[in-house]
Amino acid sequence: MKRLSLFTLLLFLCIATLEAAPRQITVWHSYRGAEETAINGLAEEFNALHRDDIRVTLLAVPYDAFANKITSAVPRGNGPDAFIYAHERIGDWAASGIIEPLGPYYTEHIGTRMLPVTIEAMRSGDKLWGIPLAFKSLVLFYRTDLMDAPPGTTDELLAVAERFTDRAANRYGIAFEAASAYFAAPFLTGFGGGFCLDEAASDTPCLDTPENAAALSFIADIVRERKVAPDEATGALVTHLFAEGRVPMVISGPWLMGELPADLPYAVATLPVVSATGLPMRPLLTVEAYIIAKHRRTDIAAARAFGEFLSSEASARQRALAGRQSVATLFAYDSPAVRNDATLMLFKRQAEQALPMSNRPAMRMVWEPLATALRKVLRGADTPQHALAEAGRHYALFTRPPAKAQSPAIFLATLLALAVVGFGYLWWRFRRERVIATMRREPTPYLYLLPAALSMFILVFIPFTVGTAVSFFAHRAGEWRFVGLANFVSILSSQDFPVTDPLNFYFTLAVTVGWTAVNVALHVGIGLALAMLLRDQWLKLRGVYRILLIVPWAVPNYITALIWKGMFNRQFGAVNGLLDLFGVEPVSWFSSFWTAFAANVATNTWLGFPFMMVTALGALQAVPRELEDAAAVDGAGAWDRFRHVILPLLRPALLPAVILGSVWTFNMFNIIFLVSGGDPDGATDILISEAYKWAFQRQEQYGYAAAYATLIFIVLLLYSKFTERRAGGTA
Amino acid sequence: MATVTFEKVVKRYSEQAVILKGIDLEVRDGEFLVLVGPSGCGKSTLLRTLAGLERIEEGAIRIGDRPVGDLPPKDRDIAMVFQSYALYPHMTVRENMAFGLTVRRMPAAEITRRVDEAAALLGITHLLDRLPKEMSGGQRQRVAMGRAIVRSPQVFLFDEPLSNLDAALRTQMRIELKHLHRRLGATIIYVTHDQIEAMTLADRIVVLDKGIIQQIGTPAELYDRPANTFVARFIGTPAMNLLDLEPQDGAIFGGAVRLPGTTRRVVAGIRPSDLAVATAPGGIRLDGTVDLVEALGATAVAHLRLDADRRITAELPAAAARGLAAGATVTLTAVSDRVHLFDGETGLRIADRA
Ligand SMILES: Nc1ncnc2c1ncn2[C@@H]1O[C@H](COP(=O)(O)OP(=O)(O)OP(=O)(O)O)[C@@H](O)[C@H]1O
Ligand SMILES: [Mg+2]
Repeated sequence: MKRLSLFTLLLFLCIATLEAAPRQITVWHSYRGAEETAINGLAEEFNALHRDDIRVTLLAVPYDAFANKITSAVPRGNGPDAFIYAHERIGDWAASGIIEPLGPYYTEHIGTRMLPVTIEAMRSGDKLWGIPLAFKSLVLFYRTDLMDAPPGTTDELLAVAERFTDRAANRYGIAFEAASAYFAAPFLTGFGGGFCLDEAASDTPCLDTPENAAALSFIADIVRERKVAPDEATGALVTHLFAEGRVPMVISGPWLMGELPADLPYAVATLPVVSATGLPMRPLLTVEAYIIAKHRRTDIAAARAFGEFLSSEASARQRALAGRQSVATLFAYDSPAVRNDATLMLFKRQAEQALPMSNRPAMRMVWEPLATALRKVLRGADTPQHALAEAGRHYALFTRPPAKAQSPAIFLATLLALAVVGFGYLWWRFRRERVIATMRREPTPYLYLLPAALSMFILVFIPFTVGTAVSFFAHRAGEWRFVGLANFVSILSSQDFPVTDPLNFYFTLAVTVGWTAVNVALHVGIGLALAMLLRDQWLKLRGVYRILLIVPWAVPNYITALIWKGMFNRQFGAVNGLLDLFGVEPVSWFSSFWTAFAANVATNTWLGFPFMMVTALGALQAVPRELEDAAAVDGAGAWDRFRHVILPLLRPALLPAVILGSVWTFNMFNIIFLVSGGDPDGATDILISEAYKWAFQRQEQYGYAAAYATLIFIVLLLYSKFTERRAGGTA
Repeated sequence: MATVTFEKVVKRYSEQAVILKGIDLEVRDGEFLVLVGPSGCGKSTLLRTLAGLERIEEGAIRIGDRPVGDLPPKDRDIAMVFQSYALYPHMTVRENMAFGLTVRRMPAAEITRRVDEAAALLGITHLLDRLPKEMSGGQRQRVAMGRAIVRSPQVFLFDEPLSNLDAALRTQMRIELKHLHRRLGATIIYVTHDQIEAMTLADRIVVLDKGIIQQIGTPAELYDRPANTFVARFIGTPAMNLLDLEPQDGAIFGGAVRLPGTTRRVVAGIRPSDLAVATAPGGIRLDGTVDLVEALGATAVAHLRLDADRRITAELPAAAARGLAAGATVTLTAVSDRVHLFDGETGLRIADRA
């Protein structure tokens, strides 16, 4: 009896502990600052409430990599159980089965508690795919010390703006990132246009419409004709002008508030009504949603519970007040503390008349063509109608269906045959040179080589093989399809684009070759010249030149690139400031090919010459002084001595550096991407940055991008073979 | 062909490093002048200032009547042969020799003619298409000379041109150089470390020490009448014996050598070849213990110890040296008028006895 009761007790304890083990859920988010503090507090509160039941662990993941991490980690079971992210990817994730829809009960239940427009954003097909937590959109910020009331219409806005503009004093009427498609959206809607992606019917955006053309003309009118807004405005510039009081109105989002001084007198207002149409400008609305992953470790109830908790009235109020979020939960706005907060109320008002950004993949494909059209119009290089027609055409090209699937059989057979031939050849060589026998006899040296060989295999051979293999596939929305050589055929035949189009492979190739040649010539020229100047001071000025070298080198090159990008800004850059001293008109560096190219080259030259200088300095130390003395006595002047004696002797040392430099420059992605970004219209893109665009900005066409990369490899291979032969022939 | 004049030439790298300390020198037209001196005394520097490879801080240099102090090397009309030859490694022999003419934009036909002529003169016609690295040291040396000759400059400068060659080749090149000088009749300034080269080649020798000229003269003058103890020891092999002596009653060596009117300390110099084993009493007598005898064939060099810290060398006929074994005591003698006398303080030569 006693025994039995002991046993029962043990059993009871076991069950109790089993029951007490809480269900673990991991939630990813990308909040920072006050928002992060708020959500951390809420998670603690939730865990305290559900002590025995559910345990939430939050993980902050950087925003840039967030979507890609979700796409790749969730299907493999390495992802979170739920995550908080903008709704724009819901369409693809729903289609590729990465996320879980909310059931009908929750659909109805949540729907009534939330701002309707945020629920709209959650819809894909006939289901809702996330619990809306907060939203963001553009609004109008104005300085209350500079103007009394916000403009209600665009006519009023222009009137105020013109009054305030004084270009000599660098003062403007209004500022916004005019060259960005996201900022163009409210103008499109205000003129009655848009993207047509909100209607379920069409999957193709309607860019080329008279309404959109009118909107683009209007933006161009503000920036180009009336010049009441700065062109080439970046987010940083907008913030700066507004904080300095050099512009009374800016169009921006809630993120601006975090960057303004606490005591700045400003207020927010809804975007005005377009006078020409009588329609309000409707910005795009981005909704942050609590989304549940399909592959997770816990049941849906537990995962949903935390989302429900976050969107509850009490939590929402806390997020609104402490985290300064515009929350989606309606009841939160009934609390007096929120109701008295004019800013939060205004964001809600603006959201009510905003256009939820479409969550379909098509939406993301609109940005690049639309931005290109916008920039062309802003530069005055094209009419709005024509630029938009081009944008439509580019959209169609970027989203064209992947090539027909092919049977990999013949390719596999070829691959196999090649492998057999390759290994056979290797075997034959090994036999002939008795490598195997030597290895057996004296394994030590081969063992020493092993780590290097192994890391070469892992770091070079495998990625190279995978990359090459990928180029035979087409990738859309998580689906791979074997297409054989179709990617290469498409790139090399370039039928879709004339040679003058920057999207044409040969155009880009020519730009890349030109870019490489000009850069290497400048690196070598400047490097050599400086090396000759510094040679005698090699010891004396060591400190100085070391710093000279280290500055461009030690600073990460993307920082250098961003600094130079800033220096080439049309209105506020140092370069134009310098030109202004000489009475040269300010140059709009990134709006024509040659100036943008020159800006890229200047940046890369700054980065590249130190390497050549060091190489040349080192090589110069090995040129005997007596040779130069002999040449001087022989009657050679400084130039002849350099040209006929020093240079030929430097050649053997410089040539490898030149080849190395060429390869680096050929693939110098950072500079192109960060300085000109391919502007104007992708004309200054080089092959590698073009490949990047195909991979990451145009529907993840990884196969197409990999084909570009493979072609780059072939070009470089041919180049090094060619230079090798030339070097061998003359040296 | 021209004269070369140095006037109070001073070269310094800093206040401490004064390399040439007021050089006064007149090189005659067509003269073969040899510059000797210990390592680091400024011989190369002197040549380089003349070539225009180094600036001078004070003084003047003239070639003929032309002051050249401020001219760049290419306008001085000088050729220089370096110790390392300084051939351009990436050029063939022909290109090396033609370089000085090419940069002066001479017509191609004339260049070819001159190069061929010089190559024939030096016997290197068959090497014209080779690169420097494909030749022996002696061949490279000839190319370096060829490169100088083609330009037919007013002055040739040679900085130890033969020092990288072996002894036999050096002897042969020495003779060829002499012939060449005779043929070209050019003014040559030649730096060497080699006594024999200096003695055989020179019209006149300049002895340089610490940036100061010690003596200028024909080889015979320098040998017979060295101006000071430095020159005395520097010229002649084996070097002259110098003995520090205290005169007694106006004479040294027990009265064997009378001093002309001085009672101060003197340094007596006796060349090893002027010493002989004493066979009769009287005259200069030096008693020593044999340390070592080096047989050179016809002669032998005997190293002797006079006392704890004075040593002398004697160059004796082989027959006379045969009887000397290490440790033996021997008495040497010399003819008194072959003794060179120098002031004990200044080291300057004391006027010869009448
Ligand atoms: N740039 C310089 N700075 C300071 N001193 C120098 C410099 N170049 C040479 N010297 C000094 O000048 C002196 C003369 O040098 P030089 O080459 O003329 O000697 P040299 O007589 O040719 O010697 P060697 O017989 O060894 O060739 C040397 O003591 C050398 O250290
Ligand atoms: Mg020297």
